[in-house]
Amino acid sequence: MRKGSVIAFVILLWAAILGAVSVVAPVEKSPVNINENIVYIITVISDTNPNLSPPPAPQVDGLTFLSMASSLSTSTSVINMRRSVESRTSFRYSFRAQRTGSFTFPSSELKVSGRSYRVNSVNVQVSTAPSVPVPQNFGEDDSFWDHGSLGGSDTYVLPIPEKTSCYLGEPLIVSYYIYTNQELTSLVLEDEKDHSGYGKIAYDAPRELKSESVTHNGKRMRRALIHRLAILPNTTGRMQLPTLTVKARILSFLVQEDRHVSKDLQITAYPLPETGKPKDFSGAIGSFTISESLSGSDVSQGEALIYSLRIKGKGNFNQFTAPQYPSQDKVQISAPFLSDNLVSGIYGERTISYTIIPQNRGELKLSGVRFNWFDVESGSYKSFQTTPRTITVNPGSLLSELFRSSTPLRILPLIPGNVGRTYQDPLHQSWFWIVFAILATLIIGSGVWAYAKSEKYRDPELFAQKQAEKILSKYLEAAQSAVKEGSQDFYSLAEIGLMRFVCHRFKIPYGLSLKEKIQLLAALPKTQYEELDSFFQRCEQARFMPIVIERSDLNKDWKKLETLVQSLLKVKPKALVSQIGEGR
Amino acid sequence: MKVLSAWLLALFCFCLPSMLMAEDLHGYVANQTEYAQKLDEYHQLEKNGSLNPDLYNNIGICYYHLNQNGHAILSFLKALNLDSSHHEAMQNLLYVQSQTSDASLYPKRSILVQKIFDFYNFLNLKRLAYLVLLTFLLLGLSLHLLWHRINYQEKGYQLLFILICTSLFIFASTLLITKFQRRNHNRKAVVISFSASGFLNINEQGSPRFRVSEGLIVEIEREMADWSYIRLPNGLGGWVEKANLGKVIP
Repeated sequence: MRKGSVIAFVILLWAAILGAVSVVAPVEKSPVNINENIVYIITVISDTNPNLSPPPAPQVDGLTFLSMASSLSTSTSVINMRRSVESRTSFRYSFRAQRTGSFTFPSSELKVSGRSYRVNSVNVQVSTAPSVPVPQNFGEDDSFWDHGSLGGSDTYVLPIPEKTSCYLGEPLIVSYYIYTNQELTSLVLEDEKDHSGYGKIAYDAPRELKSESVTHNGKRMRRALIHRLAILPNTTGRMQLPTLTVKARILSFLVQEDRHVSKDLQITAYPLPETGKPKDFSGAIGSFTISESLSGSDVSQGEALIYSLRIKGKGNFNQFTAPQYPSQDKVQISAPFLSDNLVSGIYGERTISYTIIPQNRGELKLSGVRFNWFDVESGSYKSFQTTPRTITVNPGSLLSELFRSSTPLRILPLIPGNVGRTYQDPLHQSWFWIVFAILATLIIGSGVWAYAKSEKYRDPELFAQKQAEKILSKYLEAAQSAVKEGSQDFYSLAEIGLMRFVCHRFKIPYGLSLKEKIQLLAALPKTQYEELDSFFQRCEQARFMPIVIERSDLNKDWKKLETLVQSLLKVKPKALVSQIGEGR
Repeated sequence: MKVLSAWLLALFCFCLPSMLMAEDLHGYVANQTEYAQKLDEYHQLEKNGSLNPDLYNNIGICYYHLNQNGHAILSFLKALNLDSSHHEAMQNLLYVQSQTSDASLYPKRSILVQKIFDFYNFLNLKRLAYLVLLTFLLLGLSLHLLWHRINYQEKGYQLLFILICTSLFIFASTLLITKFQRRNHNRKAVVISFSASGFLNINEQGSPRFRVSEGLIVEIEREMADWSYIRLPNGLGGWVEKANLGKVIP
């Protein structure tokens, strides 16, 4: 007992620790017309029942606060030991704009279960355009609530079940209405007290309280639905319905706030009859229509067929399991797979799907599956037996055989090690761009090199001229620096550079002797030939002269060389090359 | 004595199931507490700026064990957004997806199409980056061979290599850019609330166009105030409240 209590406490504590909370605060509509009300909603969504008090109405200059209403919806489901809870608490504040323009609901802090959550600021635009008044919200219609019933305040909350008796496990809808002859300005759902003997699901929590005129106990009253629950009795006998506590703010002579507790009401749950109860009773109780379908009747070996059983209607969907498809030789049949489209787990459609994979080719007879339930309308057990079907299994394709996965799906364990290191994608890493840039540079370089090389074949003369100019500029630079230093090396450098230039430009083999080269150069115009010959002689003299040459002489010879090169560059090499060729 | 033995036996028979159940429950709670603690640690790492597919995969596993399938699927999607070839995250995602109520809404793919998708997922950003560099290198080499071939050589082979390498380079670069763009502008979201209703218009209060359950992966097409227009895997679209969705790229 003690151990159980400790475990229960740990479960509650764990749920409280884990409680994920989100707070949203939009306005229902923006822009709105001056005639319309502005509805500002703060919604707290939590996977536990949050502990929070209604936040005060925001103060916005230019907006008049009219009323506040709250609603609470909680849904809890436990399926296969997996528990899911969603609680949604909404506070709706109605305002009326005093002028047109833009208004901002300021950001604020909301305390939920002791923790602070930020509510973001929201803008709303109010325009002048006339509009048809929107359906009035709770507390906004002056004729809705009876003004001036001084001293005659009559407000109470009544639970109204759809019927007063039901079967064990049969879902029963209970609607909670507030009856009043006063004008309510706000309503907060404070508490929902449970009693023993049933499970419950929130079925409907209206976003707006819509009123209707009724006569109750001989009095004309207005009533509005505030909450709707689905009760699922889990014991037989009489049981009391949940007790709702609401806090209502009533505008009477003065504004007064009262707590109202819903009136006690009991229902009776009867046991299911034992007569006619099938051995494989699924536990389904309700009013259902059943249909079935098979995805095909012709299939290739290894391919899958889907058999679906559709259960539609109202019942305890959350409390019954799907029937297992009977196992069969040469057929692989999956466990049932549920797909629900349900309202609060009691109304809608459930599809139970089975994946069927035939293993052998040929004709295959599929035995059916049986689903039985207790029909609350007739008070008897009913059964649905699927039709036995024959399917044709054709030989499988090579592709499907090759790619058939053999590993069953399962959740994998946690990845150990340091999972906190940051993963960087390559586009944000420098190495990628460095390698890319190097490759791009290499490709461009290779292209430029290849282009330069290709000139040799495309225009050999131009290539030779360029080479000659390169050589000349190289030696001329060296020769000029020798002149500046007053060195006699000028002559040797000038002789080599000039000879190489001439050989490249006029295509004279460099291996010939100086004499032979000069003989071939006789094809040059006379002036240039003489100047060239005399310069070579001067170079020879200077190289072998025992005396030191003056700097002024060096400068003169440098100028001479420049003039000679300029004049040689003017000579068109094409004509000369052919003459030289003939001379050889 | 006989009466006492009978009483003891009855007491034992009565207590045994509850003791076994308590043991199971105890183990279950211990496990849950462990996963909750791990989840806190991982969230702290995430808060400190860690972006790692392994981290998101582990967060997803913790959420799964804490029965929050919506958040689990969202975390696996975050892991796959960082690394599309993350095998563990993919397997976990497929498993948890198969456990959700709306699993039948996902389109069924043929084997060949599935293999193409698998290949696309295999090429994560890192692999694509290497592929781009490799194909660029090969393209450079084939260009070099073409440009520097001996003058009288035929250039047919070089041109063929260039064509192949160029195609591969364009394919890899396009895929890299596309994946990078999709990663940074991923519009996928997951239904994280127990159920969510989709309406044709914002602020509608009538009967919803569709109702979806926790864990369904949807695509956000546009957003307005506190509503998002989502497209379900079966093609149906509608407005749902943003609070019901968890986005892969917040």
